[in-house]
Amino acid sequence: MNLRSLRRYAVGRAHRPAWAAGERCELCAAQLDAGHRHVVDLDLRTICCSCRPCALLFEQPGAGAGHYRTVPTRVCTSPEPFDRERWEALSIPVGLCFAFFSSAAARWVITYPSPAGPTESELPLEAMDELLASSDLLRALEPDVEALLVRSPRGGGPIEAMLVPIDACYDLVGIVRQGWRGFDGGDEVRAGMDSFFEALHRRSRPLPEGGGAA
Amino acid sequence: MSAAEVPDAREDAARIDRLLEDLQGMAGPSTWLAIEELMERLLRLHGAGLTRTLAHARAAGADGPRLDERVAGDDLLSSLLLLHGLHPHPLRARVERALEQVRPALGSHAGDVELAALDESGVATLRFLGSCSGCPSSRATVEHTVRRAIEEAAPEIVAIRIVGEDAPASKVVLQQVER
Repeated sequence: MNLRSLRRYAVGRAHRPAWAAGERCELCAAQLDAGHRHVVDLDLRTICCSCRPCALLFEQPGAGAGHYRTVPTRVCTSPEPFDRERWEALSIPVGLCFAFFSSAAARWVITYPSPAGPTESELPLEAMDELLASSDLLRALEPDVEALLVRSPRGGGPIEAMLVPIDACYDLVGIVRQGWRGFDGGDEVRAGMDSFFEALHRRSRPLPEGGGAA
Repeated sequence: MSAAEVPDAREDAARIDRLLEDLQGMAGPSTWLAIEELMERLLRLHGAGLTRTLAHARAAGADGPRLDERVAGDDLLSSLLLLHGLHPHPLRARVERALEQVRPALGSHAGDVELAALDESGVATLRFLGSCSGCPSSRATVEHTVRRAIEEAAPEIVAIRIVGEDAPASKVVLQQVER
């Protein structure tokens, strides 16, 4: 009996298998460099690792019939203070969350990182309308691929809000999920979050006049 | 157990060939990579199982040479052991045995074939002797039969060279057996 077609998969083959060669672009299988980009699959609502050419392709609006959308890289802050009163009107129970507009659900979605992974809830539209009116960052968000990351310090003080790529939010979810210890998360999570926010601040630019798409 | 007793295994092998060929054309690049990874991991798991099974048989007191003969004589098991590099017989012995088995089938074409050389890179050189080395059409039939037998018994052979009785260098035929 001849099992020739199986030989290339059996042990002892001379070449290193392609799948073991490190991370690959989930769209075209090209090998990925460190710090690769991401593309959102709008139909499946998942984030795919992407090589540079695929990311460039899906930066074009409407490319891939709107199925894929490249996550932008900008991080923006606003000189305007974030409206604490309107934010609190949303009754969000946690101090750390991100909000984005889901075009599939046609509404705003708010996500909290938690030790169990991301937890999602939908926001009441009316309250969101008021917040939108008060926040230039929220109005500048690109649907599905950018989010408003909000951190409100526990002891009060100004709320920190930043326009960030959605993949950065899931990095944060990973930091929280993997490092969480005990009831309050522990020092490791706090340190991880602090350095995460520091890195974002270093990347951040003031939002250009008029919002400006990514 | 003879080949005739494992028809399902042959059917499976043929179907696997076909599916892999079809899937490579149908799947996108990342799906194909996942299929290849799946194949490799499945085979690795089964290869590890076979290795352990043989080790247990020996540890339990099985007569080594008899065990080797039995598994080598089982068509299905022999193919699987070859696939995983676990066959008890060394390469040269397998090639010699394949030639022995094919000799009666050369039948009316008469003549004979012998292993002239086997080098470390996996190239086998065969020498045809007698009347079949001359006639081109019977020569082609014989070559085909011999190649298939060697390919099956010694899949690690990468190329088969065939030389005539007088072995002139100009008549060397080099054929790639496997990628």
